[in-house]
Order: sequence, then structure tokens, then C-alpha cells
Amino acid sequence: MRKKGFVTAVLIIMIFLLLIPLIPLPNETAFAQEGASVTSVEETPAKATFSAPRLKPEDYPSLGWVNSREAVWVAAQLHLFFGALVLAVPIFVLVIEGLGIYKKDERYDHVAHEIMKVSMTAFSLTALTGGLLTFALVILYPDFFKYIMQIFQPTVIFYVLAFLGEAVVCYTYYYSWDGLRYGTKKWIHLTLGLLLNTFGMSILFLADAWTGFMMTPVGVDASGTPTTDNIWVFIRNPFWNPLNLHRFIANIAYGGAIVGAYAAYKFLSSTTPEEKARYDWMGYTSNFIAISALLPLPFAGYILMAEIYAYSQQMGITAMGGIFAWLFIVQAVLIGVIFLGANYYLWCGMGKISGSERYTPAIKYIAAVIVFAFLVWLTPHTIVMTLKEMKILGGSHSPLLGPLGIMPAKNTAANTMILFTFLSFFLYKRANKVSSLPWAGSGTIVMKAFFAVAWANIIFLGIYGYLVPTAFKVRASVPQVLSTLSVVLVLLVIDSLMHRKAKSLGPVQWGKMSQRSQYALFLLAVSFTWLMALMGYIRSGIRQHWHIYTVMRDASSNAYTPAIGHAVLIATTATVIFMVLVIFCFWIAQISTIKQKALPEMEEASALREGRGE
Amino acid sequence: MFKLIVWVVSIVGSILYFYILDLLIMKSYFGAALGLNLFPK
Repeated sequence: MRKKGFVTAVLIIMIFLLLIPLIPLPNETAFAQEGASVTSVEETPAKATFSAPRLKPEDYPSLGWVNSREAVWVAAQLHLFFGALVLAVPIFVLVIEGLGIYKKDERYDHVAHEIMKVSMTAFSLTALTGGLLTFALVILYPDFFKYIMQIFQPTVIFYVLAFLGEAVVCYTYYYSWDGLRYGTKKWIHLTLGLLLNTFGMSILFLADAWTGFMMTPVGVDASGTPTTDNIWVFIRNPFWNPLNLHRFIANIAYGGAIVGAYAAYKFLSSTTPEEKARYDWMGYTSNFIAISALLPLPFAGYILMAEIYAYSQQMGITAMGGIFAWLFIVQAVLIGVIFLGANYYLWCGMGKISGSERYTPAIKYIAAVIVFAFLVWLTPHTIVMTLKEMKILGGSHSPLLGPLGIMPAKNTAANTMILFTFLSFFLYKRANKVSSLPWAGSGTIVMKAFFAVAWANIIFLGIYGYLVPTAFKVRASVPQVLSTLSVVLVLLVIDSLMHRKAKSLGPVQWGKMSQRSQYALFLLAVSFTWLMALMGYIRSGIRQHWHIYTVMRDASSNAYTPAIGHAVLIATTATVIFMVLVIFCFWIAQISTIKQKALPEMEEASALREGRGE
Repeated sequence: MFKLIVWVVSIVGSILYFYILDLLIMKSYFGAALGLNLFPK
């Protein structure tokens, strides 16, 4: 028992160690100001004398038929997709491996090992696309690349070292899996996993510093000349921590979705019940991780957008109220698809659990609520209309649906979807258990009442948002989020206490899963990827005609905001290329398990050699 | 009867919890006096 406690404590410490860089430090630069070129750290004058180059269109090299912006766009997007995958996989491989020790269940270890196998090819492709992006930047945007490297020169060496460390530890971690499997050696292996994650996170955070600086530059004056020699000022720009947090959580969700797709692919191609059971379990575990990370993701996104607004209201309004606002409607559709897909997968999965029939009638109500919330989320504030249509409607806003287009309605819908997706997970988790404790009935009533009142509070705060000034409206979203989190916490605590000595209604029949449920996992992976491409475009596109917002102007012929249709086409192209490459990764992992049967003459020759005693 | 009491206590307790939660957030943001200033002008 003591050993179990020790293992849990070490595991928790390991996970929390990964989160340390996300903790914001007290620094004046965190409070961004309107007007970008500011530094709030008073120091001795900087020694650096360079400034951001003032470019002309002819300063940009051209490769003829290649559109520079789109080439860099696709290369960066592909690098980001693979980077997200290979940074996420070691995080949850470490967690799954640790769970395997804690639960003394070798299934966890096998799955963790297999997931690493899939991501090994992805590691090479990450490096390849990273190289492609660097070449594209050096060749097509040399002046910009030179300037940003001058600013971040001291960090580049750490980036390279972290990259080398990542490569060395990654291969050691993977190939030593069977050699360091049990006892103390397993702890050495876990430490390698932790080290791998440390390198991975360092790479992410350094890259985020560069990206953040392009969005919210600090430590330079209006001409781009550094006003400080303190590199920390540039790194810790206002966008850095929100981006770190958002990408950290999103990467886990994304990695889970891609591994879920791999499990679905293996499940559908499995021929034996054992294999089906194994990949069904893997699909469930990956989906569980993906959705667990997805639930807090909208809140991290909210922090990120709040920081953009705090830095530059203009940039915030461009994102949420200008041309990019329509992409947020597409985002709502994709997130709705993800939530519906994840719920559908769970509802299908309940069929393999004895006792789940108790909860089957509730599914249709959960589905109805999620669909309704989904419809509210995707309702636009205004739509593009002809004059005739406007006359019929009586203005540019629908009198009936117009109010659903603003944030209080969206926040209420998002929290409702999260709340009811959690409910699906919750019912799935307790489907085959019956508590034998005398207070179980009262505990269930408490949970039902708490859930209902929390939802009522979320709806109340949503309606409240319409009746008060904007500042109150925005702030009302915070207690909404806390209401959702309270439900998650309270229900999980009461439920785990209730089911301490629970009676099982039968084992989970892994593998007894419909084929169509697996397509929900594919849907999740594709939706996540596409969503990342579209939202990534918004994040980058709101800089508009600036390489570095308000500091270094993009003077190239591509410095315009493309039409939504065109932008979606490019994002979709990157998504399709990535999907093809991911299928290649799956295929490589598959063929590594195939062994060709020896030819008859080879077998005969071996038999002869053995007969002669050679 | 016992079941009814549990329902009533749970609902009242939950309402109190969320009332205090909303109150604390609004207070921490706006420094409002205790007593939720529900509809500020």
C-alpha cells in the first residue's frame, strides 16, 4: 500500500513538473498595453543597434510560380501538425506507462509502447517539415528571418540543443522499452520519458516565444530597435504564456485523437477477437485522453483571446468581429462535430458494458441538449444578405436568432456542451457498477441536484449577460466556467466515494464494439486537424500586413488577407497532406510487424545444415 | 419523506454554493459590497 502511494506521488510530481513552465511569473510585461512597441522593464540602454528593416516589394525573392506566403503557410502548418503530435505523444505515453505501474496492468505498457512506435516515423517527418519551413523562410523571407534571429539569437542555441536532446532521448526511450521493463529499471525508463518531455516542452516554449513576439512584440521601439538586452523580455511577451497553455492542452487532445484514429484503423483491420479487444481498449483510452484535454481547451482559448484584446483591441476585433469572425462559425461547427463524435463513440461503447441499459434512456436527452447547444454556438450574429433578404428580415440582424450570435449565448452553449459531454463520460464510467453503501441513494440525489443547479446557474449567467454592461457580461463567463468545473470535481469525488466497494454487474466486453463507432474516431482526428489549421490561420492572419505586429511591415505582394474561401482551401490542402503522411506513419508501423515466410529452399538448406551439425 | 428532505437540502445547498460562487467572482472583479449587485447601471 505504501509502495502504491509512493508510485502515485512520484507520478503526480512528474506530471506537475511538466506544468512548471506554465506558471506565470510576476513581471510587468505581462500587462500588455495598446500600441505594441513598448517595454515596461526599466534597464540600462540596450547595446543592440539594429532595427527592423523597412522593406520594399523587390526585397522579397521570388521562386517564379511558387506563392511565397502559401509555401511558408503550408510548410509551417505541416510542421505544427507533426510537432503537436510528437510533443503530445510522449506526454500521454508517460502517463499511460505510469498508470501501468500503478494498476499493475501490462495492457497500459503495451499500448504505450505501440503508440511510441507509431510516432517514431512522425518524429522524422517533424524534423523534415521543420527543415522545409526553415529553408522556405530563409529563401523567401530572408530579411524577416534575419531580424527575428537577431532578436532571439541567444535562444537559438538552446533550441538546437533541446532538439538534439529530444532526438537522443527519444530513440533511447523507445529502443530501451523491453530492456528496462520491470522493477527499478522501469523507473529509469520513466525518467527517460520525463526527460524526453522536458526537451519537447522546451522546444515548444521557445518556438512559442518567437511566435508570440510576432503577435505581441515587447522590448523594442517603433523602429524595431531593442530597448533592452534582456532576452527574457522578448521571450516573455504577453502572448507567450497563453499560447504555451493553449498549445500544451491542445497538443494532448490532438495526440489523443490521432492515436485514437490509429486504434480505429487497427480495430477495423483486426481479424482475431484478442486484437479487436486490444485496439478497442486503446481507442477508448486515447479518446478519453483527447476529450479530457478538450474539455478545458475552450477556457485556455478564452485566456488567449483575452490577452489579444488586452494587447490590442484592434487585433481582437479583427479576429472576433471582422473578416475572421466567420471562421469562428466554422470553428463552432467543427467543435460541435468533435463533441457529437466523442459522445456518439461513448454511447456506442456503452453497449459492451453490462448494466449500461440503466442509462440508455438518458442518451436521447443528452443528445438533444448537445445538438441544441451546438445550434446556438454556430448561429452567426449577422449574415451576408441581399437587400431583398434584409427587407424581409427587417434589418441586418434576425430579431429572433440575432441575440444568439453574441458571447453570452456562445459561452452558455459551450459550457452546456462540456457539461453534458462530461455526463456521457460519467455514465460510461459507472455503467457496470452498483454501490453497496447505505448512503448511495442520497449521494445520487445530491449529484443530480448539484448538476441541475449548476446548469441552471450557467443559463442564468448567460441571460444575465444580456441585461448588464459589456464588462459585466464578459466577467460573467468566469463563474460559468467555475460552475462547470465544480460539477466535474464534485461528481467525480462523490462517485468515487460511492463506488469504493461497488458491486460489478459484469466485465466490460472489450472488442464488442460496432464498426461504425470506429468511424467516429476517424472523424475526431480529421476534425481536430482541420480545426487546428483554420484556427492557426486566424491566429496568424490577424497580424494582417505585419510580419511583426506594428514593428515590421510585410511589404511583399502577398501582404493581404486572403478571402475566407481561399484561406480554407490552403488550410484544407495542408490537412489533406498531413492526413496522407499520417496514414503513411500508420502503414510503416503496420508493416514492421509483418514477417515473410521463409522460402522452401531456404528451409531445406537450414535443415541440411542442422543435420550436418553446422 | 427522507428522500424528499435529501432533495430539498441538496437543492438548497447547491443554490447556496453557486450563489456564493457568483458573488465571490463578481466581488473580486468589481469590489462590489457583499450582496450581489445583480443589475449594475
